[in-house]
Amino acid sequence: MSRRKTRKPLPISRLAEARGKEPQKPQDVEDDLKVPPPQPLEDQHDQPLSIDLDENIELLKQRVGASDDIVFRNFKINNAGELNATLVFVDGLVNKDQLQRDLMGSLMLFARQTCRAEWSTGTHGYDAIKNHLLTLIELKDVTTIRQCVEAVTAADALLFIDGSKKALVLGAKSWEHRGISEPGTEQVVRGPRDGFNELFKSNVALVRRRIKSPYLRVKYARIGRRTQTDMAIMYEENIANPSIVKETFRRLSLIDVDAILDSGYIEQYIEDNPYSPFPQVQFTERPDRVAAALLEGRVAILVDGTPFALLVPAVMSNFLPSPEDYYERWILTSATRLVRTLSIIIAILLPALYVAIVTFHQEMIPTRLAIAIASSREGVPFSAVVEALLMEITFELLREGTIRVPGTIGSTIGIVGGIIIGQAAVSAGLVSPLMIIIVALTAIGSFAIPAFNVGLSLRLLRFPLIALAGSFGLYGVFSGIILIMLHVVSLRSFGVPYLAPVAPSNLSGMLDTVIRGPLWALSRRPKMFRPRQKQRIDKPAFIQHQQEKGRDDNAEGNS
Amino acid sequence: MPKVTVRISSRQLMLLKLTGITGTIFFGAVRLLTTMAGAHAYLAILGGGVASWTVIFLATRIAQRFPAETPFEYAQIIFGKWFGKLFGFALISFNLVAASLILRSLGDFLITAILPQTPLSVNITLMLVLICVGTYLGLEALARFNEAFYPFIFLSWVLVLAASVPRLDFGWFRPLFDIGPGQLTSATIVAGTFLIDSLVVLVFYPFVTDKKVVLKYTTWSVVMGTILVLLLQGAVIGVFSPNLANTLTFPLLELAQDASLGVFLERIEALYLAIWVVGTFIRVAVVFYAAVLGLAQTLGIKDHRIFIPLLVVPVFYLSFQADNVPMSFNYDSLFSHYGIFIQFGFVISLLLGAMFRGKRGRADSESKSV
Amino acid sequence: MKARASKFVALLILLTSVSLLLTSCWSAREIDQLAFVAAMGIDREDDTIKLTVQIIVGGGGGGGGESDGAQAPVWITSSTGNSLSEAVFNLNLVVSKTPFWSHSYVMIIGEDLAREGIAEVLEWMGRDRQARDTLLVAVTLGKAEDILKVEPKMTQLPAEYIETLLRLGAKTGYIPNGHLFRIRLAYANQPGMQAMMPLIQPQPQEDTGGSSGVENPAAGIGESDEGEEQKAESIELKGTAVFRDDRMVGTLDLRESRGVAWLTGQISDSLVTINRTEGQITQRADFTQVKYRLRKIDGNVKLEARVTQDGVLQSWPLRGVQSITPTILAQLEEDLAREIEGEVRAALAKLQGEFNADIAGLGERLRRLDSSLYRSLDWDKAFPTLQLATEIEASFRRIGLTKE
Repeated sequence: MSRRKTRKPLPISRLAEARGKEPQKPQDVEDDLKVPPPQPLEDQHDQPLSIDLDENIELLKQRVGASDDIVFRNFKINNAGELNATLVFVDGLVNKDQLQRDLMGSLMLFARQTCRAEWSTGTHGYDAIKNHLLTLIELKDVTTIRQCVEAVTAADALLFIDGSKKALVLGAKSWEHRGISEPGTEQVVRGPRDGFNELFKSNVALVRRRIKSPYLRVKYARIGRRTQTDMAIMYEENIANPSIVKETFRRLSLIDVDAILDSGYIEQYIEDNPYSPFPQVQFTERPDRVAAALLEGRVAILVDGTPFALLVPAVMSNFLPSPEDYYERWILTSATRLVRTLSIIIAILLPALYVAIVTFHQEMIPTRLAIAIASSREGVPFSAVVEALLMEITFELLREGTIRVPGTIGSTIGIVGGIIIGQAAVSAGLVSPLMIIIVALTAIGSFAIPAFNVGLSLRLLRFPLIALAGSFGLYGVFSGIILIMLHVVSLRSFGVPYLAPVAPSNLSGMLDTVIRGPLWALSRRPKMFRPRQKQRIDKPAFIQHQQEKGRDDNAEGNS
Repeated sequence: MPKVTVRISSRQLMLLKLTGITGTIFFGAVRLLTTMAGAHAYLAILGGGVASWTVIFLATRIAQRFPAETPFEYAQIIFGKWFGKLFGFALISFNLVAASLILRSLGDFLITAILPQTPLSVNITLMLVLICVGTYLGLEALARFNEAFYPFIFLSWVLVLAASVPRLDFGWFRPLFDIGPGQLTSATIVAGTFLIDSLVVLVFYPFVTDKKVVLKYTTWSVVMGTILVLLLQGAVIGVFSPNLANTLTFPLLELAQDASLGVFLERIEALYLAIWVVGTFIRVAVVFYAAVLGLAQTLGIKDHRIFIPLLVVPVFYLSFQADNVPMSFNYDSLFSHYGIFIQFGFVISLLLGAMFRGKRGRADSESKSV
Repeated sequence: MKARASKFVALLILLTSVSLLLTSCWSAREIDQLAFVAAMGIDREDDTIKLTVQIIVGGGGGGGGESDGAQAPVWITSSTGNSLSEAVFNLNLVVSKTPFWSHSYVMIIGEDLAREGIAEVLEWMGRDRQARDTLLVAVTLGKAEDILKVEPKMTQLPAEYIETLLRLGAKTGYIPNGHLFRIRLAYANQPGMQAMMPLIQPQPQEDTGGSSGVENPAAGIGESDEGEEQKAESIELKGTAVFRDDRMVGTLDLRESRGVAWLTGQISDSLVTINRTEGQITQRADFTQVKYRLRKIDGNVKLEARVTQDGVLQSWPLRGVQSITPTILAQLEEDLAREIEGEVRAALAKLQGEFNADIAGLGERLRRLDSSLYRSLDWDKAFPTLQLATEIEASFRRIGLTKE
């Protein structure tokens, strides 16, 4: 605790300093790779358990209060003597069948068959029950009342035995949950269909099932004073750069808040630059995506209670691909990537360019189009820039209006938006038809970006750009671009430059940005994450294989 | 005081230099060279390329002697504390003048070509705001920005060149060698000034990570810059003929005017201009950054950023010294005639000083902290 | 980092708000507040310059749609002033919107003004940022205003009709390339290269004037005799307006114009006819190239133009009588060369004898080959006495789909 206070948030640049250094040995690192347990609630003072069962139960009841969903079951362990015991658990969060079979059954029915005389009392009895009688898998000793409270609230069952200063925590968590289903946000045509659900352990398992490397590390942590949210931090020890892993743990350890209800909370606490419109942490619902990220040397944070896992570091080029990109053949994917790049440009720039050209650089428009625009704008009361802002805001309204309502109403609003607003606004002379096209294109462009949050944040940037276009024309637009680009290039995510591998440039890395090179050409892991093992495919062997194949083909052709 | 480690790669340095050369070519260089050497400007550009490479070679030599320090720091080692500071101030004022001249050229250009009614001061102020942001974010951001944006600048030149091919008439270059030596020499000097930009190498050398290949990459930048300028100047002469080109205020603008991009956009010179404006931004921001950094280091203050507001004022003031466009052209031309000598003077005095006094800098500590 | 980012946000907000406040200031022009000038005509009227413009009328709604016929697509109006820039400025007082010149197709100069000098026009076109170099310029016999009033049947915009005619006509060599760029180029490089412009005229409506139609194959396209109004419906290409410095000094007819075009190598689609006893044989020329060199002939250094052209055989009056053999083609090619030579000589005779205007740019060619010789000459004096040697290589490359 005191240690945490002495730690000051290091500037990100420190991380960059560590770049050149040798990767540290795991032993040295190990110490840093722990998230300290969450702060206890303010009113709790700790005290050791007493030897008396009733006293302990009384103490516990004081702490957890009179909640009706907490079950206290008193029973007698039927071994040599009769030992009083109490089982405490939260109703609905434990597997009662299992407890009945493996706990109550063992202790009440079969204890006598295996028991010995010296087991009957005190600590001996406790150890005997733990080591010989209980057939549950997860067992843990706790010695203080606070630990007891934590165990009960964290959905573990708790067994108090008279005459022992320890209590047993029984891992029998079980509650109703959603099954594994297709992820809602990142659907693919080709590729695995399983998505994360709200149970972080099964999420971890989904990832673990994909990576059988023994170096895959999973570290549990618990954050949130009141929510005590579990999370797992995953990384591939032989790939991930230790400094990035360490930095992740350090940042997580600095979080001291009441509640973590979604990984989004974590994201906002660990991102480098909270004022930037660009997301610096990636989220995903797909285990295959997490696996791919881990093998690139990134760190995944899986939070209990949400299907969204976080991936750090995340740079611009991480938001462009869809996981499908790597499952489909590269030429097709490259074309798709180019379309997406175009869609980003359209989403940010199109309305601004339209305004700039129509109000400042009319000579750029082909004559006939210019005349068409001019006559369609005839009678429109607003200047082009106001018109653009008006329509863009209308569109944002529509989007926000449709996004949360139930499906059937959503399509009604779509019709209202599309037909009433679009059609009627034009015929009422409020906007020109071309502007509707521009706005529609912008909308489609922003939805074509696979990462939904990126699309949203990029769309926000349109508004300042439209305003700049309206007052300085293309000079204004490009001034805005300069400003945005300057911001983007100086942005970092966990010490990784945000625009890598474009700037700072890395030619082999650029193969996987606006285009996606063939898989065998992507033989190196992305350099920007500074992986400990740089090569992911043994390229010479592959080439050898190709050459041999080529020879065989020739031989066949000749014969 | 945050300790920021600034590191750029040789490739980034090369691209910065390349932008320095080609990002502002459309203002004065082509006009001046056409006026001075007409169809023979290509000779001047070739000569200027060689001359500027020589200066840059010397600049690299002196920078190699002090791998961990900027010229503002080692000038004080070489010339002693006070003369060194004086030298630093000279360098700084050179940069400030250069920055203000480019800025003014940009303003003139914008007001002539795309924004006729917008006041000059507004254009310049907007650009200065951007430059301050760029300088505030520092060299690393500028280098990366340039790296990300350079392809577009390059592409714009390629498109301009490609679109001018149908109108090219190589007959305008004939006769090939028909120019007086005096005329050619002065044109070469001007071409050299436009191609040199040696201060980029001198000031930013300590920040480069892979110092061994700096000379290689800067040589490449000079070669590529020379080729690009050569092609653009050639296109201007080949399309417009020396006589007509001579009458144009911004020959490259006229060249871009009739370039059409497919069938969709007819006269996209405004788009080119906007892209070139970005090139100008990088150029001015780099020069201004060098001045700001220099002032901080000359005065021995760690954080350069506090000098940004201080130095913006003279740049703004200097850029309004010319009363009208021809006057600003005159200043440009004056600067171009002496720029190469001044830069050569800086470099050679540092080099000779260091050699005579046998001074060397600290060993390279991999990166330079500011 | 965080402070930096918040400053970024603050700056963005600042810029946005400033921009919003300044919106529609300064250089902004709403596109619907512009009057797109499609064509302009410049005439000399007494002591003043009269500027006539065709302004595109968008038409209420659906600009690209078919015209209703009721409303003319253009509005023709004019203004006057002591100089062109004054007339341009005065146009603002006539038109309620701001005239916008970038989209102009053509500029027509009246003969009177052309003869008086067009320096001011060229000056204005060069200096104004809206005028573009790809604009087509032509001289009309008579008033430029009359050309702008021509109402063609085929195209919606009269200016587009004129532009197409000039562009296609330039390929045939009957009129020169009228791009403003060419004219500025020639004007800047005189006297070794003098300016020339296409010469056009509104076609008289009387059907009796058929003789001109025969003489001019290109004008056949625009022929139409439906209209009964006074206004002309088509435009006739008349050849070349020859300029010396900035003044028009004379005209060349279609044949002579093509003579010049052979020398500049600018023919890409023209019809050459040979008259033989058997009948007319025509060649559709689609390639021309000209090369100049200096040759010593009888001890004198002479400029020689070597014209290479080829094309498709278009008509063969001896069909069924004689099949096409290389020998016959060789004979025909000689005839063709003689015909072309004749055109070139006719043009040169007029240029050297009458006008003393080197519109073919022979002086410039000489300068490129031997600049010291060129500089020793006063080209204005030397041009009339220049003896140009010519070597014409004409050929039939293809004979079409029938072989005899």
